[in-house]
Amino acid sequence: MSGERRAFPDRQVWPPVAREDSGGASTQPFPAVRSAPLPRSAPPPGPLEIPGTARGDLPASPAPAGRPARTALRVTAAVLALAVAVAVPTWDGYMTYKDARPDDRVHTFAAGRTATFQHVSWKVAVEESDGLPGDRPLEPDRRWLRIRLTRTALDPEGVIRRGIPDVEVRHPDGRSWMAQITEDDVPLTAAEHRVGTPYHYDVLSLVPRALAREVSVCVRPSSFRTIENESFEDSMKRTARESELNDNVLCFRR
Amino acid sequence: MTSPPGGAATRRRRPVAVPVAALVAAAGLGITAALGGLDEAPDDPPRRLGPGAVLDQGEFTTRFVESRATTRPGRYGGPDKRYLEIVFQVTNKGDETTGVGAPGQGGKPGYFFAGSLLRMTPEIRSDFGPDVFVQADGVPGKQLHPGMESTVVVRYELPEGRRPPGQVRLDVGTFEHPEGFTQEIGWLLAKDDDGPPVVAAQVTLPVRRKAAG
Amino acid sequence: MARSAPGRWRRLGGLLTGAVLATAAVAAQSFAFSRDDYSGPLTWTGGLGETVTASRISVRAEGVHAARAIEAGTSPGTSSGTGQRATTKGIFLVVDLAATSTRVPQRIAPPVLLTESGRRYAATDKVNGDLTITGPFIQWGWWVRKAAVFEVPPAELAGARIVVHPQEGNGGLIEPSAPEVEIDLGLDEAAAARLVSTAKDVHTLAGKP
Repeated sequence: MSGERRAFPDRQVWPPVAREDSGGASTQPFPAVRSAPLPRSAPPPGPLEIPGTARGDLPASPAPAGRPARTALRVTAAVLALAVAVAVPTWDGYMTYKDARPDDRVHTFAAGRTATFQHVSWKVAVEESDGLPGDRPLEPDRRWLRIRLTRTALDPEGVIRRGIPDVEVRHPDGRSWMAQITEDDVPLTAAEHRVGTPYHYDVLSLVPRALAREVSVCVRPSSFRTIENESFEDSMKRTARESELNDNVLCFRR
Repeated sequence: MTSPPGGAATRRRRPVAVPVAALVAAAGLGITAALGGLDEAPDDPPRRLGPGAVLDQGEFTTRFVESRATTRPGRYGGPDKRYLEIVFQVTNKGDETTGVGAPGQGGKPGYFFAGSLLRMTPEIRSDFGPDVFVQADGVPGKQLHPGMESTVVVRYELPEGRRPPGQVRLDVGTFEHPEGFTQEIGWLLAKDDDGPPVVAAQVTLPVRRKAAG
Repeated sequence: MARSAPGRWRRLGGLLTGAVLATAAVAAQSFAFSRDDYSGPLTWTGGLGETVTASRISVRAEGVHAARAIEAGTSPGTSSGTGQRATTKGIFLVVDLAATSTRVPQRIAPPVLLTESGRRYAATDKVNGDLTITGPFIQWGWWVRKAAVFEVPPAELAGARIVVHPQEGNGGLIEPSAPEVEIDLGLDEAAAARLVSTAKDVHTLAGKP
């Protein structure tokens, strides 16, 4: 490969030398400027020094102390870049997830205590049962919890906050079970709903028998405010303005 | 500025050859364009099909079985209701279960199989569009499973006092499976660029009178 | 000339390395996850009779049957008598499932039958979903035993797997990397043929809705 190379003598290419055979053809694209050339920008004073040469940037002059440090730096940068590339979408996804499902604010109360939250007081009574009238017998590893939930409006605002609560049965380790409201005596209209009068929800839940004594009954009061004689549009606008989250949970231990 | 040396004859001929060639090319293009040769080739005209014909719709192989007028006793003792039914034998050639869907109505596009029924002449309008289902002995369904042939019925309720037409003509489209850039898109109605879905077949079905229950 | 040879070799080596790296970079793209891959479900697999736990749910396929028709059991509340029998041009595959939740109450989404040929059959809509595994809430502490029913051509049975996943949570988000359980039903050609030849005329789905 290298043997076939031929060396050529140096040859002037610019400015073009007049050739004998050119016969009037000129390749000069524009007339030459006759005046003296403009002064060049001043050359750097002192001996010409390419920056970096002295510091050993050229491969020809190895600097054993600098290279491993730089390799380590590059590896660290690569690892960091990878970590950021993985972490940012994950974090973003998690934040989106959390925005859609904010953490509950759990307020825990001892058995039989009355909890007051947002102008309403709540009370829970639980009764265990092995079977329900008119139902087939229960499997031996399960137990019914018959829950009586009492709500009392403390003032007119408590009457406005008479939306149906969500009820759930929870174990302290995070497991939970469904609870269903089967009956209630809560009046529909504000006129019938009296401040200070207790109203009830009857709730039913099926839990493992072994855990029946350990679970707590968790009530999530509705943040919905029912204002009498309000148009639907007004109520939608007001709800959007108030933007109250349903993230408060009152847990009653057994 | 001087030109390179050359014979007098060559010098005279050269300025002619290039302009002439250019002129011929331009004239050719112009004539082609004038005659419509640069327009997009027109699509194949829709196939004209009749009862019993089979159409390959990409995602489905569809046989147009028949169209029939039926009468059913009205609910709650009301007057009898009249329906126009169109019957298809549909085989899902895709890899996934899909639905019978619904034809488009009033500018709203349809979806799934019945979305390919682009237009019916005469048009029968109703609030919720026709009832589309898979007919079987017993419980009807709304799914088209891969590799299975299903009898799909599109049932239009005729407005009170309206007689069923003597025949219906359906404009039928086909489905294509475009390659998604980052994810599967699934089957879409075949279209010309961004135009409306292409009518692949026009199916004319005479309406058979039937006093079914 | 002798002096320039190593330099040229080095340049050739550099070019080659560059070409190899470029090729490798292009080739690596074919291993890159598509959007479907990296937001697709996380799958836990198992066989017939095994308990497979997929973060939120545990599922066990306890039996497989075939039938030519499905009848809903006596169900108070629905219109009694006619119209409760479902038929198919293929065959009904009934998979007995047991499911429980690992923490909080869940519901099972309509299962999918994944066949050897790569087809995905959704659970049939001809039977009342309340009578299948999609009906009840599954909760920690006990197993819910219900069936999943598919309509398939008999030829697709061999090698089929059932895919079970919990319903999307509320919040309206499409969840990436949602858990799912995939169970091989253990049907080889012979077992599939036997299943079809011994298919019951009518399979009755038991239980109250």
